[in-house]
Amino acid sequence: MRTFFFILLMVVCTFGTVQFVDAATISFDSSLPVVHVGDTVTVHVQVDTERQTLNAIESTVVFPSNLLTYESADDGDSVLSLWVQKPTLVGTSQIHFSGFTPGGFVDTHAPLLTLTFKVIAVGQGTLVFNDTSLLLHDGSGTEASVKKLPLEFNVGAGVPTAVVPTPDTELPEHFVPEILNDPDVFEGHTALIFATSDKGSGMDHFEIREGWWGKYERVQSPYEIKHQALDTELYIRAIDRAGNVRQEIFYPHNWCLWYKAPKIIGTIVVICVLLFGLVWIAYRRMWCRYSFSW
Amino acid sequence: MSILSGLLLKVSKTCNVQRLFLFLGVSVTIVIVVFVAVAIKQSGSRLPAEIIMMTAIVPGCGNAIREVGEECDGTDLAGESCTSKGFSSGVLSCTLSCTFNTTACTQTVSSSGSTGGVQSTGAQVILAGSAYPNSRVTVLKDAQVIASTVADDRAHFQVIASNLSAGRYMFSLYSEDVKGNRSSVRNFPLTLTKNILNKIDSIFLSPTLSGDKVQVRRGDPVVFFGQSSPIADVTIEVNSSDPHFVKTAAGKDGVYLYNFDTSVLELGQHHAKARSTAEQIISPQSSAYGFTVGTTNVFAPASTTCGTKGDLNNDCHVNLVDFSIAAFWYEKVLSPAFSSREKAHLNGDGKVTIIDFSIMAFHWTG
Repeated sequence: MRTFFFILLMVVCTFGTVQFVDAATISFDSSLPVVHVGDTVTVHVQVDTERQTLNAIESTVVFPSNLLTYESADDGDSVLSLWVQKPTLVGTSQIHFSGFTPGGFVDTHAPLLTLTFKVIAVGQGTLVFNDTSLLLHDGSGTEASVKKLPLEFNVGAGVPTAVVPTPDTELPEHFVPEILNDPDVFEGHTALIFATSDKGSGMDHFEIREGWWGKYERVQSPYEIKHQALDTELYIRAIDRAGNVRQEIFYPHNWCLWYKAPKIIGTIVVICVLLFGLVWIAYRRMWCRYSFSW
Repeated sequence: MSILSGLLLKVSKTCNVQRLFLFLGVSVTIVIVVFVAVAIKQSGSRLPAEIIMMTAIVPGCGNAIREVGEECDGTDLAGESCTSKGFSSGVLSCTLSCTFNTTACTQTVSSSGSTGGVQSTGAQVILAGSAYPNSRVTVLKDAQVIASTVADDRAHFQVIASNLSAGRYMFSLYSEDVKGNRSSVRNFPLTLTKNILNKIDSIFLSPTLSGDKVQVRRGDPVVFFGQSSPIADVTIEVNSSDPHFVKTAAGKDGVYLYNFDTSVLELGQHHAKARSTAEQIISPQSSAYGFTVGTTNVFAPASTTCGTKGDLNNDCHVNLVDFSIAAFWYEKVLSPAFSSREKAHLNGDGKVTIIDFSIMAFHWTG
């Protein structure tokens, strides 16, 4: 019997080890000393690719909502170049994200994002990963074996530690919006696509204004253009989490300067003629009739 | 104007016209002021306070006259030069999209190596190395194309990216050979610091690899060919139960060719990969070329980079446009029309998931 258990132990150890040799590891990087109620804590999410080349990641971070309140996710330093779904709070205790990096990456500490929480109650909790896929850079989207390391922490009663945030004065990166005409997107209507990143606090959102008189609206790429005649300029704002604004202006194909547009020139001429006509009529009917002196 | 003056003079003979002149003058002045203000606003002479940088795509780009929204146009560089852009010397030029091209600008570097300590304006990166003679080298920053240059006849290239914010970036490079086949993408993750020049030299791009048959009768040769740097040693690995390694040398134009005897291979699916060695530097492996050993020969169709996996709009590039199309359908029920495209260009499972974006990332060209 003892021999059987020994053999079983050897088998488990051997195959267990083999299984984990090539398993990419997703983990939290945080010392999280004993935190206190009222603290603002940051937790870095990172990946060790274990010498494999990965190019896409999808995961959900689950946190105890009775102890922590989610504040924000900073993706400014992420190894992921493009986000399919930016870190988003789902329900009250899950943060979902997915993104990819063209060409892939190999790293022992590849940063994915930094999560910020507010500590709200005393207790013991754990951060865990759910629904996690790490995909190999093999052209087929093959899932790598994944090892998910949770993070346990304790919240004690005490004086909260004040954290002075690092000021971010850098604008989001310069970007060039593009037109998208595709029969399967917005039923073939013309759309605008755009993407950028922010190396400081991370991107927050985009806003678009159509024309000089329009109003800014919060949008996502791809954005269906309202003025499908494509004769109105579009102002695209990329706003980071610190409120820094990068604005780009996109001039569609049919846009031109007003003084080069025959329609607008014609309108100005008509307005001038009408104005002069009104003055002329007013003069003939009123001023000359009474012939008042200066 | 003379007609208007004549008319007013005529009027002035019949009644008191000072008020009329005043009214007309004020009206016309208001109209002119309004339209001039709009013109100035629209032409970009006065930017709103929040505008930090303006980029525009205008119909006039390419007419050699710098217009609103254009950094430059043709030879009209708005008085800018390499030195005004923070470089030591060189020739500043204008791209086809009317933005400055600083690839021919140079920065005096005190030492070579992965990083340097030269003071500069903003963070700068120099990427230099070998591709294929006279081939186009494309550089991406965080998945988007930032520069494209042509290697010289010795396959050397250099690209400078300047005025970058501090932070972590992923720079990627690839090249295209004489037949339009692309090298595998090389990635360089870099954390940049402001006012520091980073230099990555000795970049050696992988050779391209293609073949003349997709199916070969066992015992017949399959011809492997591609391009590398001039006079490079090319090692081709053909997978089998025991992998086979063969060597050949590239010519002065970087082109190589090898007749591989398939009698040593088992029947079934195989693939080959190549890597180059030049000046004691070894390149990464090329993308795999797949072929089948069977009982008949089937020649490979003319190579094309259009409509490949990930290229949803068949424009020969896998880039932000394809990403946007796929992102539109992410976790949605696909329409019948898009379903067929998903089957042809993605993994064909009838939905758009992270797996499809992984496929796109593998074939990404920017």
